[in-house]
Amino acid sequence: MGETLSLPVWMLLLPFIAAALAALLPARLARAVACLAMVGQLGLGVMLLRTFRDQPDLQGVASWPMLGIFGSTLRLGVDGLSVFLLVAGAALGLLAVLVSGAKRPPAFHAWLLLFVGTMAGVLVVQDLLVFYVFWELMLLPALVLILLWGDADRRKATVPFVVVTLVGSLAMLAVIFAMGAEAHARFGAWNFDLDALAGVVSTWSASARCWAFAGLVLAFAVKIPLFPLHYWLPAAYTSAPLPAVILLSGLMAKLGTYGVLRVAMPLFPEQAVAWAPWLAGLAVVGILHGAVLALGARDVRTVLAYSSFSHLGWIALGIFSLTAEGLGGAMLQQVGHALVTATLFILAAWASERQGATHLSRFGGMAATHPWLAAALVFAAMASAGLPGLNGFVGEFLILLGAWGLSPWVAFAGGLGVVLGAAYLLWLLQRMLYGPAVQPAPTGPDLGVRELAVVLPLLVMMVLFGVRPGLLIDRMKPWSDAYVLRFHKAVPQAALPTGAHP
Amino acid sequence: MNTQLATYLPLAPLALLVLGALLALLLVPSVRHGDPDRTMAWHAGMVNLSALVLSVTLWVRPVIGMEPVGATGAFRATYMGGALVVDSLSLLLVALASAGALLVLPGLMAAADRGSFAHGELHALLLFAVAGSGVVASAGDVFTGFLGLEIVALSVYGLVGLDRSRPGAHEAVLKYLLLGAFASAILLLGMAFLFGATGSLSLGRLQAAAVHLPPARHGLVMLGLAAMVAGLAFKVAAAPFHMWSADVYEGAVTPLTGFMATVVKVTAFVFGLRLLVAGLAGVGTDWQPLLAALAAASMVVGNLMAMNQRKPKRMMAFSSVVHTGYMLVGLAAAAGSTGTDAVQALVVYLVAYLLTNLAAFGCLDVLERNGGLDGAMQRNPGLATAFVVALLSLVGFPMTAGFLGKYMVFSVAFGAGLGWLGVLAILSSMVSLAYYMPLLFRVLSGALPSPAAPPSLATGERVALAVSSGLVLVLGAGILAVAGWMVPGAHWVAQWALQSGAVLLP
Amino acid sequence: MSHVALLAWILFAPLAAAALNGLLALRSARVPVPVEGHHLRPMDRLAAGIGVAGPLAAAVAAWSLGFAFLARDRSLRLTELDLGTWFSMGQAHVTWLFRVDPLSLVMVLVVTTVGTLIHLYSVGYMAGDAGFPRFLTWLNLFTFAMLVLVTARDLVVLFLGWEGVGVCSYLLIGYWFSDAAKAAAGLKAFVVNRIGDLGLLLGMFLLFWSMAPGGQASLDIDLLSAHVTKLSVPLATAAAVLLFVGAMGKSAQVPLHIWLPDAMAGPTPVSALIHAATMVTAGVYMVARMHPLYHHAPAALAFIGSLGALTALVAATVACTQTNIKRVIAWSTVSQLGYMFMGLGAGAFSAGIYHLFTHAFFKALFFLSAGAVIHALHGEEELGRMGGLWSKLRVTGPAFVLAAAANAGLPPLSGFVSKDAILVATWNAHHPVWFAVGLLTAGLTAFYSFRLVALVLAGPPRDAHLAEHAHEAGWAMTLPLVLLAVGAVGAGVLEWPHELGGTLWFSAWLEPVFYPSLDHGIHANAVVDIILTVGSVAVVATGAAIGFSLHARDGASTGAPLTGLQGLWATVKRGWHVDEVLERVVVRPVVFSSRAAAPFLDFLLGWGARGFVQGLALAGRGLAVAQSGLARHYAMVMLGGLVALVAWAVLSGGR
Repeated sequence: MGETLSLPVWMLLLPFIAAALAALLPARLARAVACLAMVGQLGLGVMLLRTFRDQPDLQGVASWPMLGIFGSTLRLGVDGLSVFLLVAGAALGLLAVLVSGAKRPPAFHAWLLLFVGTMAGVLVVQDLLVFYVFWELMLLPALVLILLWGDADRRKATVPFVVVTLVGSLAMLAVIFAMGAEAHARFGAWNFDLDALAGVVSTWSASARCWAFAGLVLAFAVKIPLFPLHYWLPAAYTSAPLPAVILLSGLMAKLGTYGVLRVAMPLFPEQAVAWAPWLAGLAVVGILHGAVLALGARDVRTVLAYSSFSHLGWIALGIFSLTAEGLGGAMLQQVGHALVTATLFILAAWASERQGATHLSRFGGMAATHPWLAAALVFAAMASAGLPGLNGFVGEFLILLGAWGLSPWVAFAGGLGVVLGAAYLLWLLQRMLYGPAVQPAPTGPDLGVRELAVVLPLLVMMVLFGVRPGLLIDRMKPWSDAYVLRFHKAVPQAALPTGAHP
Repeated sequence: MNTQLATYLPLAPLALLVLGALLALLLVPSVRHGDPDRTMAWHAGMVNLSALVLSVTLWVRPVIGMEPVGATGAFRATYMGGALVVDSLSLLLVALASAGALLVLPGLMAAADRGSFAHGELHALLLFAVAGSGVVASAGDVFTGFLGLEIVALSVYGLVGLDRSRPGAHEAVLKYLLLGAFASAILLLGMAFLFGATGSLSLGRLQAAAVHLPPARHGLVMLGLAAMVAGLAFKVAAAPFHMWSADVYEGAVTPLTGFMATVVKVTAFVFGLRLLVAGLAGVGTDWQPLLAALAAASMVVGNLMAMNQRKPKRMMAFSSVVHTGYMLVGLAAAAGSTGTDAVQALVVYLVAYLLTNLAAFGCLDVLERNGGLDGAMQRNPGLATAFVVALLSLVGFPMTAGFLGKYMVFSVAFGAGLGWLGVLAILSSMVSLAYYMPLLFRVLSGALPSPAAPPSLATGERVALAVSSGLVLVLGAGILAVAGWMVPGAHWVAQWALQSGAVLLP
Repeated sequence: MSHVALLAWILFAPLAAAALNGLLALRSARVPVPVEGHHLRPMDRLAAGIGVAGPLAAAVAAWSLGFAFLARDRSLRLTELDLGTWFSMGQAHVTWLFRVDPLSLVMVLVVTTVGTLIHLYSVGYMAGDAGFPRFLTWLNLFTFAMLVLVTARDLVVLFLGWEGVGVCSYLLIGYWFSDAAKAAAGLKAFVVNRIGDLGLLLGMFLLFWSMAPGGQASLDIDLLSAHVTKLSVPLATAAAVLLFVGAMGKSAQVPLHIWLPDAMAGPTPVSALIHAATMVTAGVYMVARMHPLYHHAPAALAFIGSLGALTALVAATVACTQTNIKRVIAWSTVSQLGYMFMGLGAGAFSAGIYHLFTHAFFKALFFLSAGAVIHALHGEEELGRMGGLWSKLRVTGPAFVLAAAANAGLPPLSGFVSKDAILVATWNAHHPVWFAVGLLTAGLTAFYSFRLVALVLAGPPRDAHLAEHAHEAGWAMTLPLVLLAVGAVGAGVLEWPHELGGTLWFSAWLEPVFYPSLDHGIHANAVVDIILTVGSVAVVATGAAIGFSLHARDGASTGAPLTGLQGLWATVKRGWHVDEVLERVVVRPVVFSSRAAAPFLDFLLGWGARGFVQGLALAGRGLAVAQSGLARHYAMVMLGGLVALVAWAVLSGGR
């Protein structure tokens, strides 16, 4: 069924091993260990991409028999959906370590590595119970990183974050139990393998499946976050230390949409189809709500936090459009937004360091004093605003195209996000970079060599993926095509949106 | 030695505990020279330790006279016409009780040093309590069980009242005593009904009698059952029989509270298992709703009460009511199902619960002595980490024992058609966040009370906390127990629990 | 050189220039060399060389491609450059496909030729500015984006150019970013354009999905044009209107015109290149490019024409009242764009494009000469401080007058020919109202054009000191003026009416493109045409005469010419308050919700979540009543529990 140790497994184990080393080795080595580990992780990721066949199937599969009470076999592996997120996770991890600063204690780096590791776990396991375990574990590093190294009002920030997240995932747990019990009743043994469960739940009553789908979606919607469940986000993003924010907004948020694609929709296709318009509606509300809030926010980090919320709305919209175009756009955007949001948060943090403030009223005229930083910021902001030729555009275009396939009105409402997006990003630049220089004037030098070494590759990638998105999207296509096709087999054509016919 | 004598070897742990307790009574007045406290401590420690070692050894390699039961490697040996039974379950309980005693011992000694009471009585009473649960463990007879429970109860009354300097201790003893007497009366009443109905109190015969019972007597059995369940509900502090717990827990010194919340409760549950699953399996499904109702009540009431507690200790008291609810879910499932899954799940939960709460109360005790919870992570990380582990386990966070237990109990509940109870249990886990999380936040990021003094805690306490919280993690890692890189601890516990199930079912 | 290679040159020479200048800009931004007076620093010289060479190379390539086309048969005038797939997902397949046909070539020629001259001009105009290389970078980048826009064969690639020029415009309007107001003007321009772009996007989606069932879902312009007749007319109309919303944004049609006057915050060469000659005409080009769709949707055409007419008239009136030299020309640009759309609306696509063509020359000339005036007056832009400069500015003065005359449409200048063609077209297409509006607008145009001439050049100087020190600029600025003047005068030849003994070379050149959409039914009546022409010339002449005579006399004010008009004058001067209205209706609600409504909603959400927990806690307190601490209460509760259990046992016991 597959060897016991494959590349994905190594990418799952490496961060944990490194975390242990970082915690145990002498303090001065911790950062080096973390750095090496993430470089290694990235290297493994590149190897994985090289060996990855552009097929819809699961690859690099490893599997173990499990102790009876926990299910039958634990399968690990990656496919067109998870492989790029896994590599992106490695890249973001490296980025987080690079910007984490030398004065951080070993524990900080250990927790960072744990964060990366748990997210890798979520991405590679194909067993719902173990998926849940990693899903929950993921919360702990996030929580600790914020609580121990966050800024002043971190307590206030984390309470809603943790509580909402845990409540959501407990809902998922209930569904998992129900499905496991069903499997137990069917096969006489516990089994949480996703493929096995898909067969199991198909016999449930419509209402049961509806509840189950709701439970799963709730768990994932909290992480995305989908509209009414977002209120934890700004505080958490603004009070977390920069490396944590990179991982939070860069990858953890995407795991919400990943979960929807990996777990919720394949298990309950009919419900997905039936609910898609409503969920897409919520996504659109999120896009607009987030954009409007970003327009009104007065703190750099808050603006970016709301912008991240708004952009995750795009990804959700693409998924729930149930069209090949929308899904492809969403998958592209999952990676693209990770790149852009990380860059923006990093640049904003550097700007705040130099300005000695994060409140926008204290900014101004930075384009004159720090031209390169300003140039990088403008560039990244344009990418975030979905400027054609940079990596934001293709994803958003495909998503909106798919959304129109679902309903023109959804596309129109979502499209307003394009306008508002430009508005709040340019308004942010206006307040940070333009106008007369403020007093006290920003101090410190412009971007240095090391900072350029961090940020320049990101900017280059933005152009690269903007002009040749095929590098990503062509390798995702086989999976997404198969996914949509399977989806259409699973549900009566009549139920699907106009645009969704293959 | 000759085989005749060897057949009594399985009784060794129980005998050791009883003799140790009696010896302690003799020692208390007689030890004069040297440091009596020290001697007593050694005595108690060695007795508990050897009981623990013995029972584990016996489990690992059974001796003559222990016939295997079923294919799980479980075994059973009966004595005195079935009044005494030694099987996997009883060995497990002895192990748990003595381990629990060992883990609270350092804390109790520290409390004794601070308080104004001699060590001697403390150790003697503690040993009696453990011996009592040993008796319950090997009760092949309802009356034996009752006897054991009473021994435990009486010694705990004594323990609670030991610290005369402590305000509220007397009040606690009084309440505990009065209500305990009430509960024992109810328990006896129930036994009387059962005897009247079946003409026997031996669990083995009860079973036989219950299976083919004249319909006329059925009502009588149910009556007795209801009464006994009520009595046990008091012992395990299940709503609405839980009211005493908060006050008594608060009145007692914290390590003792830990002992009551864990060993005593677990003991009562084991008796419940013997009585309900083994004894009355015949009328099983009839009383499932009874336990389900108690479980639901405990979860709801416990949560609602715990949310409003300012003092961590009272909060923990009510949270343990909630956990009683979870265990009752397992018991109800066991009543419904015919397989060993449910019992196994419940037993695993008992172990997880015991370790978790021992760690939690232990840390609470030490932390409160060392400048409170706030910002403990900065002040003394090791201690805070242990407490965090315990809290996460109480929440049921993955990779902790708490998750393992919850996972197994909830899943058997869903399996046994008690889905609604399972959902309620998960809802209650959600609500429980409301009172566990604040503690977590206080520990991780509370304001630092200045000056940050180094923690004052004895080596013994350090060891105890390290062991208990460490075992919580080891047990929690069981979820990763995939063939190839097995996590032994979890595996053994699961195995032992499985066998405990096997010996109960006919 | 092969045609494809020429096309590659046209596209990438400006891009390369932009890239190189970008590096220079980053360098000089980091190590600022102090500038003294209007002199080029060494690095600026290099930047200037690169910056002018880029578009110049493109222009040369474009012209040689043009002549190569002339040598070819009309049906073969087509070149395509395929750079492979951009992205492909589902049915959406977009390729980097660039195409030059007669229509595109007209645009390319305008962009490169006028562009080169303006680059050259700006070398002189911006000399001594600290950010000189940055300026040229954006200018080059703009040229590239504009060329992508006009050569793209796929609507999505076109959209790339479309947004690209928008960004460059944003960056160039806010070029002097230390002035918050200027930067804000750029922001306004970009956001308003984004509104239009949304329309364009939605139009694309509608076309895509309405083609999808037939399996022809595509955004390739030629494929769409081929299949467009399969669409139902309502669908086509909807798509056409949605696309036109994009054009409204980019080409500043009412009510999305509000950004253009503010865009004058940018340096004058920018106003000339982007906000007069090229970018703002992108909408006109796009509509002409999609002519089969619009031809298939008459209602949409009618809408375009009417809106164009409205814009032309409104903007002309506003132009009459402005007191800032650049704003007059800006409003005049809006008006002329409306004119072009009016022509397109009448189905006279080639006439519209021709006006675009001539307008590029004379309006660029107008702006650049105005820039020369401003330059001469050390940055003064207010008409109130000008006047009497004729004697001072020997080159700029005549150029300014020529530009004004061409703008007014005085024969025989190019403006006259193109404007007349549109007027005639509207009449022939049986749109008497548009014709009337067009005529009135022509009169107003003549009026404000010569008002401007009078106020700037004629009469005694209003500010003696400024006029004293006024001086003509260097060759880098005057040469482009001369060349553009030649264009503004001579471009008319290409479409000189039959009736006046000319040949319609221009429309003949475009005919292979527009053939399917030409209204072959209409046969222009020579007599009518002559009457119309004479009439329009008369109107223009009177307008010009009044405009000049009113403001040429001593002490002529920049205010209302007649005292009775004061109130109306003020209103018109404020652009008929469109800005204020939109501010109230659109901007304020959004700002309000961003500052108050949305945060409040989030507050409620958080409050609700907390409230839930509080509610549970409250219920707990209710229960706590029993937890009195009194043993007898506890006993009572236990008893209650016992009774309940026993009762249950008895009730279920029978079974």
